[in-house]
Amino acid sequence: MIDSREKQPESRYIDSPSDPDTILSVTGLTKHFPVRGGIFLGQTGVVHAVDDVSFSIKKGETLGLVGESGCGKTTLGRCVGGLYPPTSGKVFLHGKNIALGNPRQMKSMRLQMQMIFQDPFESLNARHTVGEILREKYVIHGRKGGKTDKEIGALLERVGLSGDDIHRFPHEFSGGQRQRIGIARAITLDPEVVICDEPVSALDVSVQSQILNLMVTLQREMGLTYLFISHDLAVVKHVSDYIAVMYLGKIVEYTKARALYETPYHPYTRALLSAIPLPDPLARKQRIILKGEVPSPENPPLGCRFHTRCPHVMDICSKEEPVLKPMEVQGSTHFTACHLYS
Amino acid sequence: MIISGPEAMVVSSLNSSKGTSTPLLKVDTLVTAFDTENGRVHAVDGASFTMAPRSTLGIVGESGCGKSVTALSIMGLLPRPSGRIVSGNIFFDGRDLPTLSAGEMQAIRGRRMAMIFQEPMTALNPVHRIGSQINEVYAIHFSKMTKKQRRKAARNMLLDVGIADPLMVMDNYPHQLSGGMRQRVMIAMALASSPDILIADEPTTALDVTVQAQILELIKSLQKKMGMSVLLITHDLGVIAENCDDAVVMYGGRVVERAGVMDLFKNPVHPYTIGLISSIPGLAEEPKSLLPTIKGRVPSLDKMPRGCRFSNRCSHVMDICHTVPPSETSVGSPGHFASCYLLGGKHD
Repeated sequence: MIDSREKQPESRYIDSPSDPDTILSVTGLTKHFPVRGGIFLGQTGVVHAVDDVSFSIKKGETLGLVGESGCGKTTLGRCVGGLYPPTSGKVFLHGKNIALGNPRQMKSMRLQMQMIFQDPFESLNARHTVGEILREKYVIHGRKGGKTDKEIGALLERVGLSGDDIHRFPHEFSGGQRQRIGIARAITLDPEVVICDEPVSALDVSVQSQILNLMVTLQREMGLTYLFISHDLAVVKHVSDYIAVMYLGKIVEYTKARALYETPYHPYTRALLSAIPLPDPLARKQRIILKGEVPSPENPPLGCRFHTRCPHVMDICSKEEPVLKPMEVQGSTHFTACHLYS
Repeated sequence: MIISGPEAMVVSSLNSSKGTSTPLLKVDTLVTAFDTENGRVHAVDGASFTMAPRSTLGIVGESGCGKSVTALSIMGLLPRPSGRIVSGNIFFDGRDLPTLSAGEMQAIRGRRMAMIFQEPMTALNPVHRIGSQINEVYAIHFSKMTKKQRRKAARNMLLDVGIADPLMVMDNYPHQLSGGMRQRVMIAMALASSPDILIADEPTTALDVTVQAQILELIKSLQKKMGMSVLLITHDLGVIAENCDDAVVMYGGRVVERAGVMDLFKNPVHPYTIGLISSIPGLAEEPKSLLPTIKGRVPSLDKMPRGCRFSNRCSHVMDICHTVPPSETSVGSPGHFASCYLLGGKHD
């Protein structure tokens, strides 16, 4: 895989971790969870949550990670964010491998990389006021600042809340406002990378658009780099420069956001796109209905992991695992892992 | 007035007073209240709409808009004692449902009107096998069936909902099935008695998008086959556009706009409907552009503004909006109604 990339310098699938523009780079990341059972709780199996995934993100850009439940997108986000130690593989932040870092390294890494979670209620301490939640950041990292209510108030105003909210508790806020607090907490110490795990999935449509706008605006103002994880393709398209589609622990397609929607290549991406209900009764489209459901990641199909549901399945698909291969499409490089294109 | 062709269907389904065929279901100024710590709140406040036979009617709105409470009111499943229907009528098959006794309602519920819910795991009994749970439906509604007939009927029903190996599924417990399979089982149970109306409350919200497509397709094909009507409740305007004939938009317990889906999406008139449709991230826009938004958020039911409930978020708000709620006015096309002073709505 790396060879093909070196021949294609303009391909953006992975840039070298030492490239000064590359802020985050992941190579061969794998995360397996042991399954325990039986009388002595011995290991009875392995969940292949993420299998040999690589990508890189340049400063100020957004990589959207999209896939259905169980595809490993959340696990991947947590491995990158240092919440799970990866089974193997490397995570480079500014060219430094942080995947196997000791606690002190991880702490300094977290200054540069923050996370936003799906459920803003569970991720905020219910017994702390908003001011305490945000101030804690300065204390943990031994930073000056955050001492005055004015500073914290300015931060709250930046995310669309009022400076008076500083003494209120998380339960006094609506879901959308709580997500704003989660965002304020993530940007408190001016990080470079923010990993967003389904940040708008729990929100109503009218609030969702407000939060998406806030995230796009903050990115412009602060030069943030996002890894944006979601199951909602329309949302991902809206915030991303590049998109990686995941299926059962693997990236099956990777390209520019616009190109992915205009010309999807992988049969899974096509089915996923065609399954989105569009708010337009005249948009009669060819719907590809996939058979069955996602197989268990404990026992992923051999060969191409999608072959059990693929409408274009061939003999080779159940034998050989396809790798991501670059294709030139209208000036941009499109990576697809599918035997149809080899 | 003589109307023929497809238009006649639309007119009669939406404008029942003038049309020839009576609607299957008619909800008229329904008010449903809940007693809470902060006093009584009206979760549904004067909702009216009709549903034609064999059609699909969608109710769309954000959390707390009253769409689920409307469905529970129709089914007579409001949580007691806190919730009750204060006023209004629900006409089904010539009878006003809120006036029926518990026994009369029992004969309609499940038999003539069935409901499926968002999370099939909580709707199924976790300690009984799927087979015995479907069996129970037949035992209640078709007491004359023998055990063998019931088992055969259950098997056929599971085949109808696209379960390839019904005997194996009947031996399983709910937790052994995937979300999509559980929803199929729920649909099989709901349709066991061939109801006239299937009420589907967010049936695909908990499912992945590819499975959602499967389930919606299944409901559509069963609807055609069994000739039933579907009341589809969802927060997803895309699901409404692709699956419904008519749609009702609710906000703060009130119906703000109702129309045929074509009218609703091509010519929305209420500021809330317009805002909602335009704030969906679409596939057409340039990535990373800013979306149009509706400012603020839905107030809680005990803090709803006086007058029009959307007035504190509306960009076209006028003085009159803060006084009394606007009444429903017809806007051009037959069956298209909206409640807004901008459209010449009058005082109630």
